[in-house]
This record gives sequence, structure tokens and C-alpha cells, in this order.
Amino acid sequence: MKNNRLLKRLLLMTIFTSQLFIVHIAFCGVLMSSDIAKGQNESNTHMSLDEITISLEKQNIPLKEAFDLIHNETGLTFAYINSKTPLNKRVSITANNSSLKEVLLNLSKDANLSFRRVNNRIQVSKKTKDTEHFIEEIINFQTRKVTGTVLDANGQSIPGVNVILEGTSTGSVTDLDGNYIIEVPVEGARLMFSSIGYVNQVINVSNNSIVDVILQEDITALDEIVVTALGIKRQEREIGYAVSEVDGDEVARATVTNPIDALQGKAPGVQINTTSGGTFGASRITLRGNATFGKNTQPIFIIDGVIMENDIAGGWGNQIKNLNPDDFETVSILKGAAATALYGSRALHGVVLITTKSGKEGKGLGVTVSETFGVRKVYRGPDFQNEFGYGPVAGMFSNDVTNGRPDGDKHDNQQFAYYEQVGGQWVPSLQHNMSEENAASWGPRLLGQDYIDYDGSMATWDPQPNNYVDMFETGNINNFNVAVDGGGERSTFRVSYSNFMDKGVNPRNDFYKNSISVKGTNELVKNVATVGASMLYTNAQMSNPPSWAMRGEWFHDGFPRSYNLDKWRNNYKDVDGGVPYPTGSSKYMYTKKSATWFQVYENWEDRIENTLLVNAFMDFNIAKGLKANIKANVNQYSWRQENKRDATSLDRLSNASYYLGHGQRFQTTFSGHLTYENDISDKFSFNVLLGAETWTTESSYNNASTRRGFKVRQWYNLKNSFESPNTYGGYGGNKVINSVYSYLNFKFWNTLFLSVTGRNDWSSALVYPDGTGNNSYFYPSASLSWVVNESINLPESIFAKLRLSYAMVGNDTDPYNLSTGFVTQNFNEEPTMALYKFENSTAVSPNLRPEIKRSFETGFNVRFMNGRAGIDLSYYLDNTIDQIIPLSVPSESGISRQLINAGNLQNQGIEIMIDGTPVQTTNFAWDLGFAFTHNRDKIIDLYPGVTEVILYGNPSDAGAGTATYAYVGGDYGVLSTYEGYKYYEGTNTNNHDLPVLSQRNNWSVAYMNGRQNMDSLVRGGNMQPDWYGSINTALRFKGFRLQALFDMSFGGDISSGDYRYGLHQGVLQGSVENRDEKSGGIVWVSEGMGNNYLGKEYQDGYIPGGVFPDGTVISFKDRDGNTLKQNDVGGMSYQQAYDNGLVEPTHYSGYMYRWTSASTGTPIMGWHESSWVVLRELSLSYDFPSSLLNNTFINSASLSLVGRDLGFIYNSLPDHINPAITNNYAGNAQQYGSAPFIRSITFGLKFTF
Amino acid sequence: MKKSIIILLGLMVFVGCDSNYDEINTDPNVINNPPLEAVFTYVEKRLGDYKGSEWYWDNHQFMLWAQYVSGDDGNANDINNLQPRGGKYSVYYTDILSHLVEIRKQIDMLPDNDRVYYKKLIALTYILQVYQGVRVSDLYGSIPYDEAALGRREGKLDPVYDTQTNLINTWLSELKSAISILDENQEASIDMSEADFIYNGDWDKWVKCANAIKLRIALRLENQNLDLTKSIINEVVADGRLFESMDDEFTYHISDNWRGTTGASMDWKGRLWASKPMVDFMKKNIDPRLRIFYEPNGYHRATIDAINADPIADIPPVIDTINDNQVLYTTADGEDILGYRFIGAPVDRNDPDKNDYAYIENPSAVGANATQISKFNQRLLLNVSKNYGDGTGLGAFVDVFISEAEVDFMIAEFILKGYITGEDAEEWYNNGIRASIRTFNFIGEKGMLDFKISGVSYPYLPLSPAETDAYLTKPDIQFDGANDLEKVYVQQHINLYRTPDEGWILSLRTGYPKFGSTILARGYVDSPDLKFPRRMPTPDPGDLNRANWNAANQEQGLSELDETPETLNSQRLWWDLNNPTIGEGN
Repeated sequence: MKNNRLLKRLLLMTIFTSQLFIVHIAFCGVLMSSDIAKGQNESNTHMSLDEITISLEKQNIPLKEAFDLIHNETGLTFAYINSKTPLNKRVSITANNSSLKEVLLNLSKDANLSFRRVNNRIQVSKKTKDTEHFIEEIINFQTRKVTGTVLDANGQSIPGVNVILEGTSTGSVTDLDGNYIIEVPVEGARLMFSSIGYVNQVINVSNNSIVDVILQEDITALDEIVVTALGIKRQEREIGYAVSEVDGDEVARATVTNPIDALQGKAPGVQINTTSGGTFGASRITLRGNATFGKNTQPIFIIDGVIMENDIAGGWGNQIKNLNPDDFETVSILKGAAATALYGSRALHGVVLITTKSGKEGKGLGVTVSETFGVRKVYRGPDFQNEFGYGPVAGMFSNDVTNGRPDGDKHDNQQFAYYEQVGGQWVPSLQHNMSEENAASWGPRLLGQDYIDYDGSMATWDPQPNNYVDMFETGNINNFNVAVDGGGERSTFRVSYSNFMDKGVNPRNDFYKNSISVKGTNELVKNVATVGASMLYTNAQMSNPPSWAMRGEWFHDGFPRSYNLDKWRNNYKDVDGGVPYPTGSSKYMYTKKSATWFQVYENWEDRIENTLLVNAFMDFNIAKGLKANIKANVNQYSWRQENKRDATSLDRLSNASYYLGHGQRFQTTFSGHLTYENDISDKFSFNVLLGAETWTTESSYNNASTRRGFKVRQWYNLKNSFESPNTYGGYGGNKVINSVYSYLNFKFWNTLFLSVTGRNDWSSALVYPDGTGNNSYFYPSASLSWVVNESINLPESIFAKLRLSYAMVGNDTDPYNLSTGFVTQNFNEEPTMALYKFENSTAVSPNLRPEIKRSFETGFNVRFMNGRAGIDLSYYLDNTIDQIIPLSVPSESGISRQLINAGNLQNQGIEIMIDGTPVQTTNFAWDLGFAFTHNRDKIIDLYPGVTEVILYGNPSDAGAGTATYAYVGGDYGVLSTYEGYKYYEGTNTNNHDLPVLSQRNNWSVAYMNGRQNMDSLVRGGNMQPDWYGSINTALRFKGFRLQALFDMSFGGDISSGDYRYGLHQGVLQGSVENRDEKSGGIVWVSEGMGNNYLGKEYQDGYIPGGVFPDGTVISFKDRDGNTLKQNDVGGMSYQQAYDNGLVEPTHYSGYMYRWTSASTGTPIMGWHESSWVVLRELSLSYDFPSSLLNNTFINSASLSLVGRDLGFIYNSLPDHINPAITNNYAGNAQQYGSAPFIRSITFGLKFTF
Repeated sequence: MKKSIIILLGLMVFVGCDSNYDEINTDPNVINNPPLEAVFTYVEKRLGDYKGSEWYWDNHQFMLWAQYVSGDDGNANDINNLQPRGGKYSVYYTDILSHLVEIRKQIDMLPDNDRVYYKKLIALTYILQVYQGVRVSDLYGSIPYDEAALGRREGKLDPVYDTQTNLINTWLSELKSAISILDENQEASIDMSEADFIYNGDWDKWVKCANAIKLRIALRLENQNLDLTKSIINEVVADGRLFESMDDEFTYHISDNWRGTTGASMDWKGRLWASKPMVDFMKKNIDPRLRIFYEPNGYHRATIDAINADPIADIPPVIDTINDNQVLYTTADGEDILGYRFIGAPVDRNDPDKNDYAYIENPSAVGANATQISKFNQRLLLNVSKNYGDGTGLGAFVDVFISEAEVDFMIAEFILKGYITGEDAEEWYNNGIRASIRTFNFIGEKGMLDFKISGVSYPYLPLSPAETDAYLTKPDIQFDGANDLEKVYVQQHINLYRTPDEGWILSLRTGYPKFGSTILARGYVDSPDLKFPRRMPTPDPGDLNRANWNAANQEQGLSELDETPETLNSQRLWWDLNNPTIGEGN
């Protein structure tokens, strides 16, 4: 929901200090009146309406003309708000010396009006259900003073409220403390209080001399001010496209490191995917789908006019995390091209526009202090099985009698893999295998058996149900902010300091941020020139983002379900303090995951980032309506990163490493514009802007790392490099974009608004090194907004607005993409050797053009019941053409890709927002809101002869194995792999279309083989959700507010690596069946099939669903290897072959292992719909009423208790896998890295003085 | 106020006509005219350092198929399933041809005098691209060549696939022209002594290399166009410049600090062991190369003593200390390495004695858990610093692309077949064996292939000429007039151990090693034997060139999407059409 109270107040403050008393003329619709009463009928002012008589005979004239005629006859003046009075409605007057009252009553019936006369003015308003065709009269010339205070619902004073004596032009305005004084008639006076964004209120003064008023916020009028492109504030009614605005305080309240996460579920059309990147890892945000095939389809962020790139980033996140939400006034989300067309190239994917808080003129000093603290906790992982402990799959055991296992146990995983003799007894032992990779939990049931642990100590074979969740620590969040703001008559300032700390749940994954912001304005020459400047400096220090590879270890490739976390987490070092792996001293040589613990607790990666945003402007009033503005801003972003890695080699030196890197990015914008505003008449006004801008970015980096280990143990310094350090460095890409832009806004009757914009960019990135290039591009937009209810006759309680827009946005490409050449290849082994090679295998087409996005949008906003309920719907159709993409070309051409213009990617969608207040009483209210988005990205066209493009991933990659594709005529984000299994097409036609089974004889398993079909691409689901949305509800009681936000997404598919490998290693609940008789396995005595032992009983039998390929012969052998029989099972399903006694059951663990493995499995089994509903936020807040604080130095105080990410109400992924994806690349549908489920609870206090 | 308007207007004017955009957008991190000889160096380097993925995927299979190694727990019945391909095919186009074509394009744009200066560099570019082209086409058949790698300069994205007959004609003429350019006497010619780390700009050696490549081509033509085979051989013999010493060999020795391609071990799909046929042959004839190809097991004295002292452990049956105990060699420390220290794993997955073998890999264990079967020497093949059994890993990785021994054995083969007359096959053959052992010794010494097994360190022990002399007297080695050609094939097979794709091609071309041979026998893997792929399908080039790809496959009679071993075995490439069945001999 939009909540712009603070902004509105700020705006009003300006108006107030401008000493414009009749401000409503400019801002709340024009209060029209006919000419001042003329002298000839002066006497009428002392007569009642019954006494005044007129004679008039007019048929079918416009209402306005009727008023004018009566005015001419009687000298009485009609006052009305033209937007609410049907002035063009045809009426008839037939008066032959009739009383005016009679005439007015007839008019009232004809035009559905009611009239109220005060002295010589007749106020016209639309008749409501409650009013009669009523004419009220007050004729009184004695006056007296009335004073009072105007407050909002929260008890805050409202400055700048217009107080009008109804029926007159007498008015006053409240001061900074909301106080007013007005002269009113002694009797019968009624005061109308009006202010932008509040419902007008009319109060009978009666005999009171003090009239205090509480104004309710107006949510019907769309007179709200929203921040649009270039930071221009416009009334919502004027805007021909959808804008979503989030209150800055709402972002701050979430207390998250990355402000993007706080936007989740706040607005339709905004899709956010969290990643498994840890505390400060970046999330993926897309607005209205993916406009291009590129890796980054995320919106840019603009903070008070300073552009902040929203880069693709790994575990360290990007610059966005350095913003300080405490400073946010509002966050506007500009989604469509019409909204962003003025921003040019960088806004192709949308803009998140942040306006920071300012000081307020003439207010004196205000201090705001807030403190938020809380905890983060991992509350669950996926569903693990806790019945079976460590052990390899059937068929993988050693056959060796010397390990204490009798001959023939090779496939028997009811037993331990290895036994040791202790005092003549064979005891299970884990002390036997030096390989670190022993995560599989395909071993014996956990029944409390005694066994010898990795280090030779005795232990019992017990489940360790929490050994995943316990790996994480309780995180701490703390945010302290103090802001001082104020202003004199001609200046304002605000200074804010924040200290933010987030100690993540991953050990030593911490984030500390200190930010200072200063903002000020000064009116240099009164009413002529104003200067202003703002500065934000942030220093952030962060450490140890968890690599998803390592989290993969924790979850499934790390340790088995019997692993005693506390024992080994605290006991991972060898006697010399180093890593035992691979071959340490005998006591530690078998300990598992010691290298992982060493990495987690001993190695160190940290990063320091500094962000400096500086912004300065000057405003000039040149002539009436003509203004100029000059702006300059700088975004400097620098970082230092340091990685320390101890050796895992036995010499403790040769693979230790140290890395030190620095980089910086420096961006500047200089811009200026002229605006001219002309209110030609009430019917028509316009304003125009002409602007120009130059934007530059440059970046460079350098880093060095040790080579071939260290000379001295654990001295982390480049000087300790065994050989001369590796050094790297260079320019990261410099770019200049120069632009001119313009807009022209027309306003008709304050109900129809047309806005036309145009912008031309000249980008350096589209210039070839020889100076040629198609680097100039122009793009226009037009948008139309029509306030329907003020134009046609609708019930008074309905507000309706229609909007329509069409726009284009152009885009360039990354710097240096057009500049290719050769680079030297560093050959560390022979540093003096000169080697030159092509920079990369991408060639550039010689005639690249700019990318163009065309965007059509229409929608409406209707509010009912005086604004208590409303619906806002948008439909959009975007086409991005001429995309600059690196087209994959046949490698036989010597290049892998060619940079070309291609494609027509269409995004089409509907956004719906419904909100209402089902219950509202004086003290209690219940708010309810829904947001819904359906978006489809579709590929209309690619490149002649090309039907598909890979968006992300590699379809042949055996590990992850899933790529996403876009197909011409199809969707964006189709899950695809070459590792799909084959379907039977053989002689037995009854079994066609069942998967073909592979038989691994020495394992005695049959399984569907994902590597059988490697030349045919299998397409699966689609990563785009069918829809996503949120439900937001709040209960308000006096100062209390209880709010809940549910956030949901339905229908998108992902490829879950965690599910695949979790089954592979037997750690997930989904792998628990069929392992022994108790868990449903078939018990059988082997007849010697494959490598099973003749006569041995097994319990883990399973019948896979699939068909043996033609010609499959199953051999049965005795223990000496002599063939007993051979059964032809070709063309039969496993079940058929089993039913006919031709095969034995397959070992379930081997089946599961092979079907999911990287070498024989298929990623298809990890493809699942990812639909979810999350309780994203639950908060309880309390604002102390001002009455309580009246006698203190505190102006306001509030408390809040906020729970974030409280839980999944629904998660369609099997075994409760966390749907977080691996990184924020567009097109990435891969889930991996076992992000834990983390919730946070924070408590916040906020005071203003 | 006026000032502000002026500033604004000024800004607007300035905005539209920025003139240094090209400067801003020129990447300072790249150069456009690199020293061409340094681009050539890059290609030479690339010829060796891309091979990590080739060992991991392709060679992993050829080693198994040619039976240089054997799988864990016996060969699996899916060892004939084609794995993904390493970089050989794609690197050829995107890294090798693309740069060689670019070198020539850049030379083309030079003034006449400078073009002459670079002429010999152009000759070298052809030798490299033919050498690698043969390797690619051997496995893939028709491949783009004439129109290949023109994407960057000419935008050619749909090169046609040249048939093997066209390729061979093109290659022969390119080699011929390269040789004649290298023979030209030019006063002002580029000096490649620094940039060319293979032959240091010695044009004569490059001619020898070109001749060796011509002989490889001649071999592949034998069963399709014998006349051409003979004429190539005669051309080479007439020229007479053949590899005569180690210095002549086409050797990739880029740096004494280069340890080889890093990457995962070849054991990724289950462990690999020395194969029984190879180990048995080499043990029987005390082939000194045994100890560099494979590693001994952990059954030294201390292990045997420990087992004897252990009441429950027993010496496993495959360690036959009674009968298998001839001295293979004596280490520098004076330890006699006896026959049972090298055990090969059976290749027959149904070997009746298979259960006697314990596939235990435990390089540090002493006693019953010690490694029983010989591992293949990972540091010889992949990376000298591969951490196995705790070697120092400080040696240099040397890759011999074409060895003198390979040429010698080819000549011996041609003499025996009567294609060359007036030469003594046995002399070439014996010289080949000497050259092979000498070259492997060089690789071993450069690589410092020491290792440690079961607690005992073994410094690299050179393969001595005395051992070679003794080897040459063994009946399996010596010419006897009956099986001479087979002996040449067997020695070539052993010599190609480190280039297993060539070793596999020898099996395809000759049918040797042969099942049931009394010399070095190929073993059946299964009953009936598995069908092994004789080719690899060219990758689907994607939409832009699929038509040409379809046409090439159709012309060769190959099904495109079928990777089943049976299909890859039965559908042969042109050069392979008339070759014998694997293991059936001629």
C-alpha cells in the first residue's frame, strides 16, 4: 500500500512557507466562482431565498449558463468545484416571478445537486443519498474568532491544511503545529478542512471557539504524489502507467542486509528470487519478466538521482547492499517503458527509484532515534531420514575378507562396511577409509550399536537428527540509527548515522555497515535560487560468504546421518594444528570433514566496501513558470578483498594461498534542465522540460595472489609467496552516455492528462574502435490518464481512472564489447614466454544497432465506498527487439559466439492489486490487500535459421546438468538437458514409451540411465511461475497495528540439485523406503544374478519401472563364477521379467544411487514445480498516542516487533527443499547449495524529539 | 540566471557531439597487432595444454579399449559406452585453426616484403593444422576444413564438411608446399628460434616432422588407396629427412616447470589398473618400460613379513611369490623387484580367477591392506605432480606428439609389406625399440617419476641401454621371419601407450594386438565380446550449419543421433571401411 504521508507533509511545508494561502486552487481541483457579485443587487444579500424573486425562461441550457443567468439577475454568487459539478448538463428554468428557492429546488432535482447559501454565496455540491434537495441558508454578518488544531489519525499535527468558511472565500491555513485561526459568522458557521491526501471534513462550529479536527487520510482521490522518472513528483491521477510505491519505513522495518529482499511481496510485477548466497548474497529481482536474453535482467537502482548498478553477483552481493534503508523516504518501482523512458539506456529492465529523507524548512530541530535488534535462526532443513546411518550403496562394499566381512557381503548393506577385531570380537569400524567423501547414508539401521569411530574411540550408532540445523549459529541483527533534521526559513538539513550489524547463521559470515548521510538545501536568493547537496557514505565490512559448494557438502556430500556434529566440529585439527586430510597422523587420518571444518573455522575471506554518493543541485526561478536546474552527482564504489587459505598439504605450505585485491568504480552524472509551466486556463495547462545529461563510468581493479604456496607457515602476506606472486589487473570498462531529453505534459480539465516524452542517447559502448558505429538512438513515449468519474456521471463514492501508454526504450551494450583484440596469456611456469591469443571466442558483427524495447500498457484503478475498497489492474505487452546477444554459432567457424542484433522477446502480463478495509470503526480497522501478477515471456523471433538460445547453464554438464533455453515460438526459461533417459522403442510395442533400463552387472542394479540419450535434448518444465502474488492484511486498534504479509508463487519449475544428490547419498527422507524388510524392501534369496551371491538373503529388493532393451541377457552364476543360466529379458519391463521369475529384484540403494548420480543419473529427476506460500512478515507495532507524550520532550514514540520469513505455509518441492536458487543470473533455474530455512525476529524502538 | 541558461545550452550542444567515443570504447586491455610469432607460440602451447579433458574423457576410453589398462573389479559391461568428448574437436577450431588462420590473414595484409619475411611462419602454421587435423578426422571423419575458422574475419558460419579424400589431398598439398617453402633459401626470414619451443625455428626439423605426418596419412590410406600410400611413402623416403634422434622428435617440452594438465584423475568412473595382457607381456620379456608405465604393488619385504606375522591374514593368491619371482630390475637401493610386484588386472569381465584379485588401492598401507594390483602411472600420463603415493612432483611434463620410434616402426612395417625396398626392416625395428625406450626414459627423467608405495620411496630408475639390449634378445621381440609384422605392431602398440588414440587406431587399422596371440594377446572383455566404437560422432553444430552436417553424415552413411557402441562399431568412417575387425589381425 502506498503511504506518502511524510512526503505529502514535506510538500505542504513548502507550500506553507511560500505563503500561498489559497493553495487548494493549485492543488485540489480548482474552486471556481463567477465574478464578484455586482452592486446592483446588493440588497439581495439581506433577503432570504424565499424573498428573492426572479423571472427567467430558458430551455435546455447548460447548467453553468443557468448559474450565470441567476447571478446576473440576483447578484448572488455560485461556488462550486468544477470537477464535481456537471456544468455541461442541460437544464431548463421556467420562472415567472418565482422565488429563487423554488428555482433552485427545481435545478437541484434536474441536476442532482444540493445548494447551501451563506450570505451572498450559494455553494453547489453534488447531492448524496443522505442529502435532500435541500437548500440551507445562513445570513449573518457578525463574526467571531475560532481557533483549533488539525491532527492526523496518529495524533500528528498537520501543517498547511486549508480551513475555509463554507460558502465563502474566507480561509486560513494551519501553521507548522497544525494550529489555525479563522473569523466565522456568529451563528451557523461551518468550516471545511481540506488538505492533499486527506478526506475533506466539514465541521459545524456551533458555539465552540476551539475546533480541533482529526483528518482521515484520503485514499480515493489519487491526489497522492508519487515520485516518477527523474525524481519528478506528480499526482497519481496524472500518470498514464502503473507505479508502485513502497514507504521507506516499510523497507527499513524488514531489517535485512539487502534492501531488495524487503521489497518481496510489496508490489505486483516485482519478482524476487532469493539465493543461497548467505547473509549478504544478492537476490534476483525482475520487473515484469525478462526483457532480454542477457545474464542480467534486473532493474537499476537510482538514489536521489544517482545510478547504482544492480550487478550479477555471487556470495558477496552487489553495491545495493550498501544502501541504508533508514534514509529512505519512498521507494518507487517504475516497471514499464513508459515509466522509465526518460531514464534511457540503463532503464530497459526498469528502475527502482529511491528518494531519501530531507529536513523540513522552518521546522526547527528534530531528532529521530531508532534501534532494532533481533535474532536470526535456522529453524529447519529439508526432511532428512534418521533411520539409517553411514554406509556405501549395495555393490560398493569391498569384498575383502580381511575387513572382517564374510565373503558375499558385497551387496548387503544391512551390515557395516568394515569390521575390526577388538579382543577377539569383530566390531564395526569407521576407521578404514581415508577418502573425505563418505557422506552416503546407505548403511545399517541406527539402533544404538557400538562401533569404532573415525579416531578409534568407541561410539554408539545413533541418529543425529539435528546435525544439519545445528551446524548453523544463531545470527544477530542490530541496527541503530540517529537522524537530526531541521531547517530555518530558507534552509533545510538532515544528518543521519546508521550502524548495522548482521551476524549470519553461517559461522563467521558477518556483515557490518556504518553509514552517514547528509542532505541540505539553501535558498540562496529568495524565490530565485536554491542550492542543495546530499552525501551518503557507507563503509561495509563483510566476511566469509558460504560457498554453495561447501553447503552442498554440509547437506548431502558432506557427512552421513550418523555423523556426530559436535564431536567432529570441535575436533578437526591434526596434532600440528593443520588439516588431517588427506593423510595426517594416524589418529586423525580417517576423520571426516576435517578439511571442511578447517575451511569454515580457520580460513578467512573478507571484504571491505566503501560507497560514496554525492549529489548537488541548483534550482533557478528564471521567470514566471520558467525554471532551471543543474545537477551533478558521483557514485564512487571501491572494495578491497582478502582471502587467506591455510595449506591442506602435509607440508602445511605448498597449497596455502593468500589473495589481496582492490577495485573501484567511479560514476558521474552532470545534467541540467529547463522547465516551463503554464496554466493557460482551468481547462488546459501544460508543462514542458528540456534536459541534457552526460553520464560516465569507469572502473579498474588489481589483485595479486601467492604462487605455489608459502615459505613460512600461516603468514598471510604476498611477501610469503613461494614463487613471485601472480598479479592481475586492468580496466573494467569505461563508458560515456550523453543524452538530451524532453517531456511535455498536458492537462485538460484536470481529468485528462497526456504526457509525451522523448530522449536521445549517444553511447560510447556502440562505437567501434575505428570511430564508426550506430550509437545514437531516440525513443519516445506517450501516456494518457483519464479520471473517469469526474467526466461522466458515476455514483459519488466511486473513483475511477483509466490509463494507457506506449513507449520505447533504447539500450546499448557493455563497454568494450565492440573492441576485440588479443591479450597476452600469462604462463606462470614460464613467465617470460610471450603468448598472444584472442581475447575470447566471440566475434562482433560490424553493424550493431541499439536494442529497443517497445512497451504497451493499459489499466484502470477503481475505488469504491469512498475509498474503502479498490482495484488496480494493469495489462502490459512489451517487445524487446534487436537485442545485442552473443549468438552461439558453430564452433567450426573458429568462433563460439557472434555478437549480433537479434530477437523479439515478448513479455505479456497482468498485474492486479485489490485492497480494502472490510471493517472500520473509530478505533478499529481491518485492512486486506491482494497483489497478483501473471507474466509470460515468449520468444517471437530470434535470428534467421536459429530456433533456440541457451539462457543459462550447460545442458551437457553432468553435475548440474540442467540448462534453460528460450525457443522461438515458445517460452523463456524451458528446462533442458542432454542427460535425459531414453524411452524404449524396441520390438515389444506394448512397452513403448517406458524408460529404458541400464543394467550395471557388477552392482546388480538396474536403473534409468541419464547418459544414454546424450544427443537428444530433453525439454521439461518452465521456470516462469504461472502467477505470483501476495496477501497483506492488518488489524489496527488505536495505536496498535498487527500486520501480516504472505508471499507466494505458483507454477514455476526448478532443477533441484539438492534433491538429486540428497537421494543419491541416501540422506533425504525420500530415500528411506525399500532399504530393508521393515521399510518395505522385498526380501529374497539370490539365485546368483549378476554379482549377487548364490543362496544369500537380501532385504533391499525393489522393482524399477522401466524396460530392458532388446537383447538383454541376465546371467546367473555360482560363487565360482560358473554360469548357471542366462535369461533373455529384452523388451520386458522389470516387473514382467520379475513376475516371470527371470530376474531378481534390484538393490534399492544402488538403483537410487545410479539414477541420481552425476555419471549415470539424470537431472530430470530433480525437476520439480516450485510453488510456495511464505509468511514473509508478521509485525506488531504500537505508536504511543501524543496525549501520553504531551508533557515529555518526546514528540513521538513507537515500538515494533517484526518477524521475517517466518515459515513456508506451502512448499511443493519434495522433502521440503528450500527453493532458493544458486545465484541471481537471469534464466537460472538451478537450486543447489542447500540454503537452510532462516527466520528472523526483531524488536524496534523509534523516538523523535 | 543567464549564466545558467548558457551552461545548459552549452551542455546540450556538448552532449550531441562527443568526439572521443572510439577512444573511450577501445579496450585498453587488448591489443590488435600482436607479434605473430607469439600467436604461433600460443598455438603450440595449446596443442599440449588442452589435453586435460582429452585424458579425462577420450583417452580414458582408449586406454581401456586398447587394453593398456583395465577397470576396477574387472571391466564393466559399459566400458564401450561413449563418454562425452574432451576438447580435441572444439579446441581444434576455436583455438588452433582460428589463430593459425588469423596469423595468415594478418600476414596477408602486410606489404610484399614483409609477407616474404613471414613466409616460413606460414609453412609452420600448415604443419600444425594438418597434424591436428589428422587426429581429429581419424575419429570424426568428414570435418569442416577448407571453409573452417573463417567466422571471425569473414563471417563464415556454415562451413561445409570436407570428405576424408578431400582432406587428405588438401593436407598432402599443404605439407608439400610447406616443405618447399621451408627449403627455400631466404635472406630475410623470420627467426623462430625463440618463439618456437618445439623446434626452435630449425626448418629442417620441421620438414622431418612434416614427413612423419605424411607417413601417418599414408598408413590411414593403405586399405583405401594403396597406390597413393606407396607414392607418399616413396616421396618421403626420397626426401630422406626422417626422425633420427630424440632432438628430431615432435616433442612438446614447453618448460621445465610445467607439470602437465591439471584436472581430475582418470579414475573418475571407477579405478583403473594395469591390464593383465600388457603386464604379462612386459614381465615375460622384462621390458624396462614396465616400471614407467605402471607402478609396483605394495608387496615388498615388509608387507610380506607383516602378513606372515598376522595370524589371520594370508598372502593373496595373485601374489605368487613362488613362481612369479624373476628379477625385473634392481633399484638404486639394491632392492630386487620381483615379478609378483607387478600384477595386471584381467580384462575379461568373466575371468574365472577374477575373484582372486583384490582391488585395493592403499598406497601407504603395509600388510594385508597393501595395494595388490599395479596402478597405471598417473604422473606419466596426466601430470607429474599428481599426488599419488607421495611423489615430489617437481619434474617436467614432456609430451611426445610423434616419436622417432613411431616413424621407425612405420618404416619397418612398410619394408615388411614391400612398399619400401632396399632397406632392412629388422634394423628399423630394433632401432625403433631402442628409440622408444630411450624416449620413455627421457620422459621419466624429465618428469622425475619417483614415487612411494607402502612406505618405501623409489627414486626414478633410468631405463638402461643394457636392459634394452637384453630385451632385444627375447624371442617375443626378436625377428624370426614368422611373426615379424606382428612384432612390429606389438612394439608400435607399446610405443603408443602415451598416445592411446594412436594406439587405438593401430588396433582399428591392423587388428593387432590379436586375440590368442602368443606374443601380446588382446583379451576378450565379455562373451560375446563387446562392440567397441570405431569413431566418434561430430557434434551437432546447431541451427546455422545443420544442413551441411546432415549432408556430411548422409554422405558417409552415418546415423547422427545414435551413440550406441554397436552403431559406432558397425558404421565406419571412410578410411576405416576396409580395415580388419579389432583383435582379428590382418
